[in-house]
Amino acid sequence: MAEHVLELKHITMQFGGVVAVDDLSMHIDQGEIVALIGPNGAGKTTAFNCVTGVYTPTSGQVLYHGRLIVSNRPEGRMKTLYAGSQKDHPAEVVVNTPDRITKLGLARTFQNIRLFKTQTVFENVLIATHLHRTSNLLTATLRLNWREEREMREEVLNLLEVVGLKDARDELATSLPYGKQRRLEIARALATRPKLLLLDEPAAGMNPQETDSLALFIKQIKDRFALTVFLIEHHMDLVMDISDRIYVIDFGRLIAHGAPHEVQDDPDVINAYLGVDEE
Amino acid sequence: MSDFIRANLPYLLAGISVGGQYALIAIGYTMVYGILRLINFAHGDIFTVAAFVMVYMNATMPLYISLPLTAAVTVALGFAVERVAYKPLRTAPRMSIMISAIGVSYLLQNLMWYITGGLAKQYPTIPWISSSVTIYTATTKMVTLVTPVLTLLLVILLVQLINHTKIGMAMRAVSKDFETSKLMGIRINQVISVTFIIGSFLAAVGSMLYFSNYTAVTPVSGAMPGLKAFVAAVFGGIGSIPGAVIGAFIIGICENIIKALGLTTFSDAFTFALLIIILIFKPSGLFGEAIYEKV
Amino acid sequence: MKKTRITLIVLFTLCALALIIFSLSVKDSLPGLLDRMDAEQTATQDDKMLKARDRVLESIREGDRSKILRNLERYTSGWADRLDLNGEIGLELFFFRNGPSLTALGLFLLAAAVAMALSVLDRKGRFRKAAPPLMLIAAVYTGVYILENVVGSDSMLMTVLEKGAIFALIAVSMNLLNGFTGLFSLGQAGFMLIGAYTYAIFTIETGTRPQVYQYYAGGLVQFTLPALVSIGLAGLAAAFFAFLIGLPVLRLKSDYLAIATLGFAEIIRAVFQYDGLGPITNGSNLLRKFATYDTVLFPFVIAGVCIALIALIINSTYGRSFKAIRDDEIAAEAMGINLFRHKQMAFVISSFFAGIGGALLAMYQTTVQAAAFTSAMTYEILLIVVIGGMGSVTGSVIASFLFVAASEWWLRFLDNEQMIGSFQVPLLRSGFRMVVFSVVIMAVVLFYRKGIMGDRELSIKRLTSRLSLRKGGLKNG
Repeated sequence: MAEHVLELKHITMQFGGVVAVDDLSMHIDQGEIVALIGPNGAGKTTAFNCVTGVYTPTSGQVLYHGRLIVSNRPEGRMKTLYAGSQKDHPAEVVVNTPDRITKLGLARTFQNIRLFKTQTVFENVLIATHLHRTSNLLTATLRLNWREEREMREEVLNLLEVVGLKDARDELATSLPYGKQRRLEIARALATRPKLLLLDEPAAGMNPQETDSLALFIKQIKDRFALTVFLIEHHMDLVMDISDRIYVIDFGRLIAHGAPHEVQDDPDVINAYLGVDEE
Repeated sequence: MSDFIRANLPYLLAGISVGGQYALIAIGYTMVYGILRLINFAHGDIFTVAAFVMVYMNATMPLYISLPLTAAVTVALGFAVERVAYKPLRTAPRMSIMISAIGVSYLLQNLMWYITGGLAKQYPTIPWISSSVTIYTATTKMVTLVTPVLTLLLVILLVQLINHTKIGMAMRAVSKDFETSKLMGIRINQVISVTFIIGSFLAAVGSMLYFSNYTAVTPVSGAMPGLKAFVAAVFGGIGSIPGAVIGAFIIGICENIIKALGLTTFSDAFTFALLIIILIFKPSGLFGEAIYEKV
Repeated sequence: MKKTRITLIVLFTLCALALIIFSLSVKDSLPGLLDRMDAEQTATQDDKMLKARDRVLESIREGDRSKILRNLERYTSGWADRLDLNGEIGLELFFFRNGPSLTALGLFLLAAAVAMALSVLDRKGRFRKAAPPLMLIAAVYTGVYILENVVGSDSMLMTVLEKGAIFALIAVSMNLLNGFTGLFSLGQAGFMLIGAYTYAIFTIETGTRPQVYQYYAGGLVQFTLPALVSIGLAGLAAAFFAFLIGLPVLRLKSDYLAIATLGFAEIIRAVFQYDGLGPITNGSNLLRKFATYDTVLFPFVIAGVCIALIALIINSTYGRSFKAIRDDEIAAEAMGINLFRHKQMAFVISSFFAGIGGALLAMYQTTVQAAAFTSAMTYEILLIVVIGGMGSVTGSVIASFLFVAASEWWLRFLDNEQMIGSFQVPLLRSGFRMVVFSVVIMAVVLFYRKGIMGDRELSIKRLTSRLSLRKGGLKNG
């Protein structure tokens, strides 16, 4: 069996007394599109943030291509406060900051778009090429890196062409319409040359037409850049359309997973979305 | 043993007294930060202005009028500064408000220099609290004993106000979540004004107590105590009132212990060294809370 | 189009060559000129006049140019009625007096001609874009040099230009941090102090050290370094301290940086005045008699080079990351930018240049005292940055000159009591200038928050296009 691209092992994230993610285990394989869905406040984005290094989980491990990138166990105050269901905690502590995780090849977008507001479309993407620089402060200041700089700019132009924003390259990022801002965020993530792309609600706030073209777009870039995609989404149409597998969480806990049609008919999932009849 | 006490008691008393005075200023810093997330750089200057108001008031009117009037003028100044310099910037980036605070500080300093001509002014002696007392062989001014008592009294009153009145509840709500409390119908501007009024009033009281120990005031004599009170607020965990009070007493006492050891030059530097140390080991201060940022 | 350009180039070159050749040729012609302007040798009949002429000749032998000019002026204006100062002689005299300025002007015109020629030949147009700003900078420097020769280095104008250039560097260095990286630091005065002291300590001449360090047995440092090396050291010393402070503080929320740097500036001020460090810092006494500069061009060149370096950093891939951090820390980190490393970089670079600024300030003041580097100094620089526009290098530069000119020169009259007839103008007395000044600043902070430039840069292209737009716009209504 080939190793998974990304594997979450017993991830628990607790804020004070609130358990946002409880004992979540899942995996994503090469070339898949995997979706994590769940009702509002189910802990999807928190799980995402544990993978990308924004939060350190209270307990559990994340592996990327078999390599441990995050690992933690309850310590200090959390030892007594811990309320998650997982009982045996990993022994190792591995903490990575988001920038290091991005360097490993995981790039993400944000639920509430976070573009660099004062920069143009072109500059927004150009900034994301910074992590591949070979120049240092001195060579960059004295422009001894001009060849690399030129390559970066060409790469960015290519990317903008792929996402269809080449004409808007000199516009201010925030002056773009909403749908294009989403695309720009994806282009920016692609500029870090990821192997695994993490999309946090890419269709949020989009109309049906935009959502359709987004689905196509995700499939396109997945093939073109040989990506594996992990996304969080509310839009069922989109999720059912493009996902190979789906994980469903509710109140931080995994309640179902499988192929789209399997999940669709799962009674637990229906209950979670529509509410359980008390009688 | 008794020699040791005899030698060190004056320093300890002075430390507690200065600590109380710092505490009164520090509360102003910490409350404003708690609500507006603004480091009010002008607060130390308001403290100094209070001293000059007292000097000029006392020259023309009896003490029982000049004392309350000084407090009233200082409160009015604090209120006006907030309305003129901070309120228009409520939707601006946070850095803009801090810059505005620095601008106000610069303006107040220059204004004081202009009015006084840069000369030291004699601070009036306030009867009774300026008189000498002797406690266990240590001779000191009455103000040394009055300060901690008055400080604690005011702090208790303030805590009661915050915990048991409607405006206090509003203040707590605003400091927890500015946006949501606005949506809940709390009148933000009123809460902020009250905060500045309380802060300025305490600064005025602190100023009267602080300068009773000195014969003269200059436009810069409030800068150092202002800065130290600020450090005290950070030390205690900025945003926390008990933190500010305890931080202020610790700094006041430590400073005087250092003076007792004969290292007077370093008593100022020590305060800031303490600041750097607390920032390294417990950045949120003694009583501050760490905040998660939502992504 | 091309034809007029070529004519212009030829014209410029000819003018330049004429200026240079003529101003150089009259350089040593003064003794002969003195004879010619007094063709009838009237000087030999008048003792006083002869003495005045001899004084000119003597100062020529001494070779002190400012003395020659002074004596020449006295001679020619004192006996103007007996001397022939018209026509060719007058022209030659003019060229002698303004020799260096005219040579500089000639060189500038030559450079302009070369630049134009290059831009005509330049097919790709890459040079054409860079030429106008470069020429503008060259024009500024030539202008400063000529001004210094014409109005003299002691004039108010020159003082303002000197101090303005130094403050420009310091303001730009602060802007790099506060405007471009979004870190609110208030330690600029502290880093300037370190720079100023480092520079002063290493450049006091060994012979005069006992005099300066009179209370500390001549001090501990007993060697002298060249000025430029010391300026570099001044920057490095400031950068080193920034590195140390940054280690704990830059990992925290940015508010704490403001607090810690403000505290640091106060500590450093107290420490430098500490008696125990007297053998190095001279305690609370002045440091003086260190190397200074003798032409305004010195601070202009150093500040110019440093500002250019900062601008290059800002426009490099590192500068882009700084701006990304300012716009959105979380997104920047998610794009693989190491927040701590880049913040530290910006902080250390900013302090390095603040240190150099401090060294220049020491040279300008000719004495240094730790007590002067108060937080009010930091506030002033921050306000310059705000007036110029957070995130604009050219804005900071322009605002520095305006700020210095206003506070040192234009508003001076507010400090003096004035009478209009028998009416005493109210309010005018010592200190009023600063009150008015701070009110103006508050007005800028409150109502004109973007400052002069906002976060844009001054560009000739935009300026000209705006001017032509205004003309066109009027016609179209």
